[in-house]
Amino acid sequence: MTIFDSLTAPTTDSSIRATVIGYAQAAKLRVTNFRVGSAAQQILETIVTSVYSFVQIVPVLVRGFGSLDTATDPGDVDVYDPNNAGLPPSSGYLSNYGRNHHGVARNPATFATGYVTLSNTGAGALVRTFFPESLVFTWTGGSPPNPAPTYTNTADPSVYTNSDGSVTLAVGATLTLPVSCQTLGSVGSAPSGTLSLTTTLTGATATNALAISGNDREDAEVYRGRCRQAAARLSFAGPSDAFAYFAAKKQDGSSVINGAGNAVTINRVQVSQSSSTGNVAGYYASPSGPALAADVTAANLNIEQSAYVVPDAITFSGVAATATPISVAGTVRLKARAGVTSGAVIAGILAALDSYFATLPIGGLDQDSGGNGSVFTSDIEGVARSGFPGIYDARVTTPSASTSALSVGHVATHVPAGWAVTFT
Amino acid sequence: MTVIGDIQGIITRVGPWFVQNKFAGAIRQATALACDVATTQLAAGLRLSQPLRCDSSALPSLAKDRNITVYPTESVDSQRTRLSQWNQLHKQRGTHQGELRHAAPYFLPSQPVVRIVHQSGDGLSATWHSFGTDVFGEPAQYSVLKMSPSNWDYDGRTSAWSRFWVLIYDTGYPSGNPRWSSEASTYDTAGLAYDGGTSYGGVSSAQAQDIVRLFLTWKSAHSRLAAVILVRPVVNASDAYVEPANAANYTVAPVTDHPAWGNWGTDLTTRPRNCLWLYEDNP
Repeated sequence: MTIFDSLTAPTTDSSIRATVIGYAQAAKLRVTNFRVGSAAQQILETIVTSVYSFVQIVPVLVRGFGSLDTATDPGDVDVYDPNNAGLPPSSGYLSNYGRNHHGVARNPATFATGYVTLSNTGAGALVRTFFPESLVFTWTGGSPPNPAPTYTNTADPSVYTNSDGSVTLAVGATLTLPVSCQTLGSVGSAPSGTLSLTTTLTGATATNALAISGNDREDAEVYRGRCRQAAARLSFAGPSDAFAYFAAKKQDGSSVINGAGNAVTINRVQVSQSSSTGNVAGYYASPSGPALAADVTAANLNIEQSAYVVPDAITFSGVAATATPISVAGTVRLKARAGVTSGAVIAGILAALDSYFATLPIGGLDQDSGGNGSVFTSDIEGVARSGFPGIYDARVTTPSASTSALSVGHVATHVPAGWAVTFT
Repeated sequence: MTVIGDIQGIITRVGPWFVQNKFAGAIRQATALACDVATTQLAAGLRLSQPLRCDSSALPSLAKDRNITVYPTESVDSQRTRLSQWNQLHKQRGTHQGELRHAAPYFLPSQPVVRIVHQSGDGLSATWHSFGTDVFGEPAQYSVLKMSPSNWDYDGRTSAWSRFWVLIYDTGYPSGNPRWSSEASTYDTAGLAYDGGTSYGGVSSAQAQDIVRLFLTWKSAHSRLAAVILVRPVVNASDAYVEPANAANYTVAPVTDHPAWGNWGTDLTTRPRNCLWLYEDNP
């Protein structure tokens, strides 16, 4: 164990007890020869507990202030503290480290926002007067999550024009209302035409003409990566990290906002590394695959016009990465308690694979100098094995080769192709 | 004021007589000692973010945070120096001066002259960036020299204008560069340019890889590192001075179809014997 590891590893109650007892024994005290429950033993235990309460803070502070990798925010996966992932997401050591050392803010989760068109045109329609946050809409079309997210109409002085802050909708009229999801995060991102009016208003219907979108909190690893790239913004000579950083973050460390008013969802960028004629190509991807067109536009604007990353005489082109679908099928064997179903196992595997593909670098792993790499089947098997507790064997049958080639500018997307589960 | 590691001392000096007996005193001191260890560890932990003071086991973590790659063949001194200068290095990242300054600590304690040369797209001029010193102990200097007409034409392809070449001069020290002086005597003893392929004129292949990466990771995205060339002292008639100044006794090289030195990009046999190509990427 290196000194770095020993300074960041959690302290245990037993190690403190051993330390205190060791020191006391060195002073010739027979401290392990107590009568159980004696006053002396209780005093020693009280001291051990007190010292432990103090000492356990040390590695927590060292991790929190020591490095990006060891610092976490509440709600993040923390290899040193299993309980951390279950805490409500909030700002903590990681966000503060990133802000103070690298000048980069971590994107918080946002409520999905957008617009619905309320039509007061059906049979039995009446003149309606209502206030902000008085109507409820539900994602009912397509394939909504379970439970289906709900949305409410939000305040907007240009819409709610009555003197008391309400708006009146005449019979036969339609009205576009801003809405916000009532659940935090991307779970509220609904495709166009999938919302409907839940509040009972006879003769009234509603739907969203455009998609409604919200973001999860910036992934911890993505945020750490951006913090590391952030120093490249100091240079005006166009290093590759500057292109990667400015695709999603502004000079002040805040997020690039796209034309729809949302933070861009770009989480991966590939930048060409070498050119003999002064060309740079950038490729963008989001967790689900190629970046949205609105995000590509916003990223290029930030790179070219806001941050001026591209030196004079240099040609830059930034485009969405091209999707390379990779079908994945296989078999798993596991030992599980009674009641565990194949469906639950497969859902766990698919979630793990989705998460893996969402962060796989554009161009894949083990890239050559041209940015062409691979997706390794053995890696996919490893991810599948971690998808559900008790899996002891995972075999990927598709892809059948040991690697799947991924060209420069291509992002692998996960296509589920079936998993067979065997309980043993 | 309490200083780090002094809690035990303070505890010993304070307290009434009945906590000074053998049992209570020892427990008290054991407790204080555990606290002293904790505060000492905290101090060491806080130093983990200081590259010039931290334990060397923290350098990889610091390097990752500061986006400064450290290399297996790099000395700890070089790692500490580069990590402590991360802001300055990043500010000049992508510039040729920045590339030279980023690589320079690798050669500590010496500071050999390293040059970057590139030709203008119209072929009319060549620009030489130099960093280092020929005199051990003297501060390294950065200088730029623009030569017009061009005295660097690698292969006649002026359209490939964003290429650059790195030249490392192992000429400034009597015994060669300390980083590889132990092997320097093996250079060309058998008349082989690459010493049988395991080392490059005394530079091991691992060192060569790391030197190349120092430049590859620090260059701009739009440029191409065309070659890294180790320039050894001129000894034989077939050796070449590769110097930016077109002065007496210095051969300007290479220039396409030069009568003596030829085209280094395509005519490998014309490459001078005192120059070793550690890397070449010149499609």
